[in-house]
Amino acid sequence: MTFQYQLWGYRINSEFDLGELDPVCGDATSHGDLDVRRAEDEEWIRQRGAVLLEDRHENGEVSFACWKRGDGYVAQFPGVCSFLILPDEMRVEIAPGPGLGKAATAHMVLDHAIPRLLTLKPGHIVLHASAIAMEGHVVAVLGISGQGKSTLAAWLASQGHPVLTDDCLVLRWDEEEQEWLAQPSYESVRLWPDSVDALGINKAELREFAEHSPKMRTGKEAQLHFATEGAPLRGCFALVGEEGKKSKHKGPPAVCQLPVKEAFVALMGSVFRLDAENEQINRREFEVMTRLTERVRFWSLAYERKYDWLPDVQRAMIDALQSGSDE
Amino acid sequence: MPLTGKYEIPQSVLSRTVGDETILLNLETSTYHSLNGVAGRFWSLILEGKSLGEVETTLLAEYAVDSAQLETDLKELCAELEKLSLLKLVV
Repeated sequence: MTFQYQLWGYRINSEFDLGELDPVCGDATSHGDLDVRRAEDEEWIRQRGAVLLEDRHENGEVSFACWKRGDGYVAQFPGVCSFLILPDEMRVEIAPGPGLGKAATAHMVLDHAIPRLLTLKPGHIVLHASAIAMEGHVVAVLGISGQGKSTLAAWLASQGHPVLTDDCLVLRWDEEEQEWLAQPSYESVRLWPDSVDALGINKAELREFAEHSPKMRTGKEAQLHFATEGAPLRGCFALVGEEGKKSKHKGPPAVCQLPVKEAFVALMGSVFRLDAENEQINRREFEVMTRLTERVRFWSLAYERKYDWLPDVQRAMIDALQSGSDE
Repeated sequence: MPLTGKYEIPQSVLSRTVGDETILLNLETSTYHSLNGVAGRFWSLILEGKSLGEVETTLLAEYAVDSAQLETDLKELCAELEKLSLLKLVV
């Protein structure tokens, strides 16, 4: 059985149920097809190659590694699953780990595999960022996992600012308009239990995020607003904080315009990446990033991770967008 | 005594000026750098193929700077950029 979905302008033909997306039928596609299937040779995919990139958990265990394999790349999440990503064929093959359930599979495909494939395609760049429509603009919030991108996105969505994505921002170059268009993702956000409580979301409005994860998904059931159309990216807020640590900032939120180099570094640190050694990819990324820093305004955003501050964060972001000056 | 010699930018180095800053990417090391102010202008003149003497003359005309100080600064800047493999002395 094959499920068909529409996401980021592509028709996704998937052997797996990607529950977050509404199934579509017919020929509705603007950019073509992208296939997701189970790997024919799972062992071949799992076999470790020369590692190009590697991330680790705080305890030192590898959380992500990737390497070249044939015409594509393998992205491996040890103990969870491995993907073979084939950008030329627009195909993702999955070798699931033991016990990988339906919700976790959908999460891994939608939030890890497809973004990493698209970021290899010319005319696209994919960032670890949430994106929200505010004051007639699309703004991105850049930050590492655990810095509060989803919580902030959910808060803003509850206040009427439509969310395009809570964690994975796909940007597509619009040749006609000469602009980077932020593409809407699926209509849900992922929240930790304390964020769920702080935002006043009822248990009945929550869905499973991934088996064995305390995080939960929610969306329209909690009256959160979501954008359905892409729009040019106009601003980026880079969350202040060190990896694995919460911001040390105390008191009211602080928004400061970022100089070009710092904006550039924030962007480079947010790109979904599989191969940092490929000269062609590096050239393309450099071109994209410099174009973005020319066209998009950047700020740093420091806020104390207390939920009471969220209305002030919202106000500080709006003030920055309206004034464009240092706050 | 005016500076002599000519530098070129290796093919493995990409650069782009955004606003007042010039961002550099060294593809060999995958490292990023930025130049601003006089250093950014220096880079744009090297990109145009100017010799070090021509660069010095242009900068003296454009900035209120002491000639001896500029020479010292340019020597230091070239040495630093060479050390980072961002510039190569060709003549």
